Amino acid sequence: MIRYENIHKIFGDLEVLKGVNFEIATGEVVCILGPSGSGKTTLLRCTNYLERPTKGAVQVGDVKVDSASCTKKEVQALRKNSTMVFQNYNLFRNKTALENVMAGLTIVQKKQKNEAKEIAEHYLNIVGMGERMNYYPSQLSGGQQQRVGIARGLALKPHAILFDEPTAALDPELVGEVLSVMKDVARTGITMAVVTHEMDFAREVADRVVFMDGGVVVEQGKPSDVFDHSQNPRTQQFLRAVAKKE
Amino acid sequence: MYHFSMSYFADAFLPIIECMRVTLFVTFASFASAFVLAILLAVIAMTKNRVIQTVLKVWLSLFRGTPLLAQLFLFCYGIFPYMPGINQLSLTTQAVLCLALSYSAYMSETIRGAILSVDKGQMEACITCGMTSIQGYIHVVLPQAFRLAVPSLMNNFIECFKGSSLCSMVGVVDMMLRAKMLANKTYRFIEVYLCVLILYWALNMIFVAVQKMIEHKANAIY
Repeated sequence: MIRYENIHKIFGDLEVLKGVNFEIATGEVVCILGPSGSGKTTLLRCTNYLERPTKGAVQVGDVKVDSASCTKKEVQALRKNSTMVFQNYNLFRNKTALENVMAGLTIVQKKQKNEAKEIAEHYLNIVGMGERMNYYPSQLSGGQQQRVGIARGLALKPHAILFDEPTAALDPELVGEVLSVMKDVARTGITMAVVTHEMDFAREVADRVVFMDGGVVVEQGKPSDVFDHSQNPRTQQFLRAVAKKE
Repeated sequence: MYHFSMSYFADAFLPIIECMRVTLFVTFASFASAFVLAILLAVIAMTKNRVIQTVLKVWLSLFRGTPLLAQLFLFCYGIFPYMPGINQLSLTTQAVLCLALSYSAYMSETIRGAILSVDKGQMEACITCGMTSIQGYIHVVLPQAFRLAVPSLMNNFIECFKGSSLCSMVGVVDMMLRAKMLANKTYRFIEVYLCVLILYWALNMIFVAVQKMIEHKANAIY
C-alpha cells in the first residue's frame, strides 16, 4: 500500500506538487498519467525520498514518514519498502547483470552469496535475461538493460515497485519487450506505481489511472472510465493530444 | 675543457642504485598514504557542512599553494619533532608523512572530480535498492570513479616519484642525496648527476609502461 497525504514539493520558486492525496491499495496497479511538468515523476521520487517532500506524509507498506518530523532511520526504512525502475535504467555500470541483481540482496539484505545468486538467477530468468547474466550493462541493449533493472527491483521483494517512465528512453522496437515483462510483473500481485506515457499499457494493465496536472490529481478512476468518459476538460485535452500524436 | 670520465660515471651507478630502495619506499609509501587520505578528503568535500567545507578549502589551498620543499622543512624540522608519537618515527617516515599530506591535496581534487563525473543516477539506484549512501559509495560510485581517475592518478604517482627526491634536502639518504654526497666527494658533478638522472629516467620509463598496462586493463573491464 502506498499513501500520499497532502504532498507538497517546492524547488526554489517553483511549486511542483501542490497537495497530492491518494492511495494505492496493496496489490493494485496504478498508472500515473499527465503532461510533462505535471509533477508525476517528482511524486514518484517523493515515494522513496529521492526527493524530500516540502510538506506532507508518505506511507509505503508499514512505514509512514512525515517530512515535518522524519529521522534518517525512518527514511531508510521507507526506502527498503520499495524499489524503483528508472527511465534511463541506472544499472550499476561496474557490475554484470547478475551482480546488479545480487547487489541489494548481499549488501542490504545481508544474504549469503550463493543464496543471492540463486535468487538473482531466478529473477533474471523471469525477465528473460538468463542467457546474458554475465554481461555488463554496456554490452546490453536498452530493452535488455531495463529488464535487468526490473529484475533488480523484484529480487529484493519490496512491498511496492515504482516505475518512472520505464520505456521513455527506449527505441520504439524495444518498448514491447519491456512492457510485456511489466505485464507479467503486474500479474504477480505486487503493488505497482507506474508513471508512463504508454496509454495502451495503462488501459490494459492498470487497475486504476491517476491523471495529474499542475501539481495536483485532477481525475482518477478505472482506465475505461477515464479514457473513454473523462469528466475533466484538462484530461480530455491531454488524451486528444496524445491520440493525435499516435 | 672538461674531460668526461667514463670510469667515474660507471662507478657512480652502484652506490646510487643501493639507495634506490629508499627512493622507491618513499615513493610508494607516500603515494599509498596520500591515496587513502585523498579519498577521505574527497568524500569529506562532498558533505554540505559550510564549516567543514571552509576548513577543507584552506587546508587544500595551503598544501597546493606552497612549495613542497618549504613544507618539508617546516614539518620535518618545525612541527613533527614536537608532536608526541610522530617524533618517535624515523626521519624517512616523517618525510613520507609530509609528502603524503601534500600529495593528498592534489589527489583529492582528482578523485573529487572523478566522483562528480559518475552519473548521479548510480547513487540514486543504490538508494532505491535500500543502500545507505556510504554503501553506495563503496560498492558503486567509488569503483567507477576510480576507473575514471586512473590516468590522472598515474600522473600523480609520477609526480610523487619525482618529488621524493626533495626528501634528500631534509637528510633522507635516497638516490638524490647519495648522488650529492658522491659529487661532493669526487667533484665529478656531471658524471654523478648524469648517472642519477639516467636512473630516475629509467625508473620513470618502467612506471609509464606499467601505467599504460593498467589503463588498458581498466578500460577493458566494462
